[in-house]
Amino acid sequence: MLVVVPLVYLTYLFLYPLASILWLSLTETGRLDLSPFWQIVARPSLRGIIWFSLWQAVVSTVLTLVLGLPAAYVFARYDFPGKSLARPMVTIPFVLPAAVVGSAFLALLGPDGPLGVDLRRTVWAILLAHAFYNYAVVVRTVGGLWAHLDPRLEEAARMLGAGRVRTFREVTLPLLRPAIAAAASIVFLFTFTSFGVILILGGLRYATIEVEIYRQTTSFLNLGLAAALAVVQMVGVTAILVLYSRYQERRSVELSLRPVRETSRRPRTWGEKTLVTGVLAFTAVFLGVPLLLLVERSFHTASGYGLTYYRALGSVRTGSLFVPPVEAIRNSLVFAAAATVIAVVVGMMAAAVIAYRSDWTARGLDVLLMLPLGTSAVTIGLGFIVALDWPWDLRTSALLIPLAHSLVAIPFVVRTALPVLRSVRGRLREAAAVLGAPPSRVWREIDLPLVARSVLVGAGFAFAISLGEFGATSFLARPDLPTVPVAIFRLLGRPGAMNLGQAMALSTILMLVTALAIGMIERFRLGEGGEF
Amino acid sequence: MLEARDLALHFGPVAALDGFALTVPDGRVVSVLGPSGCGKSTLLRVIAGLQPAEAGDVLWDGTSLRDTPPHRRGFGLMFQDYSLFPHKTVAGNVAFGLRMAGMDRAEVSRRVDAALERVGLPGYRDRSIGNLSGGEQQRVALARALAPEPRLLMLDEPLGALDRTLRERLLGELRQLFADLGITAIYVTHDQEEAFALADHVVVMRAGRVEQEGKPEEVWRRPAGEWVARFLGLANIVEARVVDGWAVTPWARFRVSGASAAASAPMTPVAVRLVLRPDAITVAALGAAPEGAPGDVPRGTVVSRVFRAGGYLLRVQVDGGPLLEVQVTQAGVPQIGARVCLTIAAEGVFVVE
Amino acid sequence: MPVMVVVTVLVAIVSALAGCGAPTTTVTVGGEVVLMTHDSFAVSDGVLEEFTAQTGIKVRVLRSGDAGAMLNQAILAKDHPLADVLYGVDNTFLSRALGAGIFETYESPGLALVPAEFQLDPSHQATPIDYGDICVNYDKAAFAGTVKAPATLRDLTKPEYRSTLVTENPATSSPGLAFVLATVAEFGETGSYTWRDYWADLVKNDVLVVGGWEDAYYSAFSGGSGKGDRPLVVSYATSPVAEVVYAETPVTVAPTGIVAAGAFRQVEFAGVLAKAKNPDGARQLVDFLLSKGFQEDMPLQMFVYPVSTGATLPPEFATYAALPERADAMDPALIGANRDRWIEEWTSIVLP
Repeated sequence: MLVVVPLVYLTYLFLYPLASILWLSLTETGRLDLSPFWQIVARPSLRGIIWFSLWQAVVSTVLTLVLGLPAAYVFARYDFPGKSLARPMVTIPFVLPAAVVGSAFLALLGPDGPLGVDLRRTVWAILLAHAFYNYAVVVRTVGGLWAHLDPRLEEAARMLGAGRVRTFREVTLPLLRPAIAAAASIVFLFTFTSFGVILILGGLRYATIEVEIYRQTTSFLNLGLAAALAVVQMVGVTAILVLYSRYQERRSVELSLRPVRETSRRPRTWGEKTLVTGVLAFTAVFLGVPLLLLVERSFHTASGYGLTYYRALGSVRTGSLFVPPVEAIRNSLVFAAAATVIAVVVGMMAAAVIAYRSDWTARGLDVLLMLPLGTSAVTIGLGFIVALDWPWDLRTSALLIPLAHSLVAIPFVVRTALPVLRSVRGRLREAAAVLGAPPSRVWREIDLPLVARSVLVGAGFAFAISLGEFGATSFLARPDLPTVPVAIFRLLGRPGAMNLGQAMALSTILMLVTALAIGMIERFRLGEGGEF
Repeated sequence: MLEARDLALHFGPVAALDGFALTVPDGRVVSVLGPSGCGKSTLLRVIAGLQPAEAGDVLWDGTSLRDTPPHRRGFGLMFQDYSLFPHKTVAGNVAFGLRMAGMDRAEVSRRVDAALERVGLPGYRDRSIGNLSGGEQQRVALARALAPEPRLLMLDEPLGALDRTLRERLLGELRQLFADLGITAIYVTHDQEEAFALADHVVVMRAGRVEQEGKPEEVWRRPAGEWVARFLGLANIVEARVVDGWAVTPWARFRVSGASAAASAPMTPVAVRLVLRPDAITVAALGAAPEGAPGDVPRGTVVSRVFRAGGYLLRVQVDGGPLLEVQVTQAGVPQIGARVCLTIAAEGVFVVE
Repeated sequence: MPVMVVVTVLVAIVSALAGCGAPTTTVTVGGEVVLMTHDSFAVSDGVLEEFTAQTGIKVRVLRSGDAGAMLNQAILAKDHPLADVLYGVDNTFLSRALGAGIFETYESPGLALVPAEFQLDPSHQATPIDYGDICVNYDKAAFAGTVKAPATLRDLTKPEYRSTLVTENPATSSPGLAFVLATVAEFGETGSYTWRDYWADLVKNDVLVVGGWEDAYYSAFSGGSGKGDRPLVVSYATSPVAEVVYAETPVTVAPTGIVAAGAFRQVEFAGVLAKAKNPDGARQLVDFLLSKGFQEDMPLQMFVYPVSTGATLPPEFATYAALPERADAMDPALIGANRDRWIEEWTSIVLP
């Protein structure tokens, strides 16, 4: 029973800690106290926060889709020089700590920045930063399915008299809807529960539910209100997820997927070349400029451009707070590898269950595994402290880190693989079965090569998420195995040009390591048949 | 009238089209017949405008279509795997082209029903594509391509995936349909039966070039070269010297049909290759042979015997000669190992260049 | 086959990691003491090893995010603590920690060298270890001209200091809270000009409030290594020293200075956690934290001042650091009782 593993995993590592902390928080007075929920309804500031969380998430999602879809198209359908390099690079923003990205955006959005208008600490800064972070989700998830769509369907439409725009609207878009919905759901969840970006770029005025939970927990120790807010957040998230999951089922259409090398080609006409160049240029600017700012800062020393900061990373300075970067990188990579492996294994099992069964088990699992993305990191972190000392005391174990990362990474693996899995023609599987292949063999020989690419994309994301140490682990009691983001945080925790410079240098190294790691992951071939 | 001139297109070192030329007059059906990989599908794609050629041009009524995008050419294309829109119903698929042409709802609806009628699927409007059988899908694809009344219809191996009876039936229906509609069409296939059944004009294609073209019967009876002959399934190709209307081989002597130019070459023996049509050879058990020198009537042993609808295909190893295929429709077919003698009728013997 | 590879890798990684951080169930010779602290904790190589050399006990460090998160975790786990020693509770959180009863009483002999002003917990559950002041830092270059650096808190409301100050949100930042407390201490809650009026004036003078210290210092402050455009920031009294220590090219003068008035004293405490696995080792560790070796290491690691009078300051501190003459230190119980209310009121004043 394939469903057992993901279910047990999620129950122990998510539902159980969550229930524990929520129960504890709401029974602080000895009995169940639901008054915090009334507070939420009654206080306009809290209502305002909920409303803000919602609408900025919606707008961020739409913005990211609008900006990302053209790039998804270009990556899916065209070959261009440097494509295999560009793909992992699109995922780099994902990895960077909010502190670092925040500082880059603040520099760029100031009155002296390229835009000339002071957008710092406005909603625009938040929306743009969200789009920046989540661009890759749209490009890779939608692009992943798009690359497999049979171009003959579009050709058929054109033969029947549909121009490019109509073809897109009538044929391509409806077929892409599963992937678009998947990407949108992830982006929504991320932005709905956004924390670091809001804190840094939002100024005092803007707060999401997540920020408020953090405030209530760490500043006021008002666990009851924090729990109530966490529940509200989850209810909202669950509602969206249930709708989404129903939508996906109804709309799933079996497609005949084509291998990628059949669907992509060099741009031919002048129009195509302009489109490809334009989209790539936009991507390069939108993603590249903030990243380049960080890189530039890492090389820009007081005496011109040089490697001062990089060298400083390698030396022991008055026994400073720093961590040898090699150690931090190694820790990051080990955790990321572990988290990715777990996420892919558990995630693919879950994806298989969801794709092949359409009963309420499948739907429930679908919603359940997306929930961690939409749940407060503060709450889960505290939940771990409360719950995970039974049956083993995992509370301070290093193992907790990749496990926590995997909770956030599993949804990615599932979301990128599902649209493709669902589209695999049932008949192909039946053919294999008739030829004597048991279900696992069918899976390995038929489904796996077809979805391999999506699995690898999902694995790449999982790796990036873990490298970027998503909020989930900030609220744990961790053994002293600092990762690169932690090292960056620590460097930024003190004044001094050397600290800032080294933080930038480490960020640049983090970007490089990410690009390399994801590039390598995607080169890996699963099953035969090469790139499918 | 469609004219394709001198089309050339390479995929890497491989030539998909190599100086290909084709003319399709109005109201005619042209078959393009060739083995897999000879560039047939590429040809259609180039004519449709889905793929540009490196050289050459496609003209309609004398005007070049080079700058016309596919959706404005007014051509219909029926894809090999149908490429039906999985997210639309049957009606949605068939109506697509009509909607693109800007017709109003009522008219579209009417035409959809008419098209479905015509292909024999009335009442299939609201069915979803995923639940259709191969034959049904093929018909929907046909209805979809026909509905907008394209000025040229192209079909890419449309009957490939169907079982024999269905194919035969649909072949007949297509013939009727083409005749009724007076449609201009290009039919691409690797199956000679289909090609010959449907077309007014057959083009045999090989490696991107035209190997032979002409009326179906001509091509069938007189393949222009050894390759065409083999492609058409004529396996009996032998070497001989022809003199004065007679073919002389070490193992037999027989008359050559008068239609061959070489046959009329008078006195000088010419070394040629001959095709012996399997249906022009008769077998008889030894002993019932007509009189004559052994050299005139070759003898041989039956090596294999395969039942084909309508008769048997024998393979006979001629004594001191080649392995010949013989098509036998008579009763009393010899067994494997039987000794037989062969009579070769002149009309079935001709020279291949 | 790939499945086997995957499973093997997984097992290998899991076992490696589980070995890394799992708590030891058997106490080896000397044993182990677990120290739980926040992310800003720093110590030179060899210092903790010296403790091991002295006592034979190994120290394992756990990190928990910021001080607030750390305290939360300690309180939630108090029946089954995660560690033996908790270090990093400051005076703004002290009453909460004491109220939750997470500590065990322990009066360290090292307290003999600690002045009374730091011994804010008469019950000796929490032991003071270090202190620092939060005050306004200014960019020397920006105030080299006609406008001089402000001298008092009240100055910050004057027109010449419009749009110059950046501070942090007290609900999400410890220096931010300290600054608010300083204003409460300075201007009081009642009278003709209360701290609320002060903040209203600051708002009118276009004070910028951001979420965290890194953001304020590096992105909004213009002095030293800051890349922003505001010459005044709420930061630590030791920030100028850090600028010197971490300058790229050696400097003789610190690029930033501190406003001596209106500072707030922050004292950090450590304590033995109740129900700890190794209370004896915990006590020894607390002693060590008060010992000369650790106290003298702290300034250049964490940029705080040692409480112990037996410790001498490093030369950099002597040259570049200045402590404000007077720093407000509020009674922790008072802070504990009113902190939430002050933050709420502050929020309603500052947020439009």
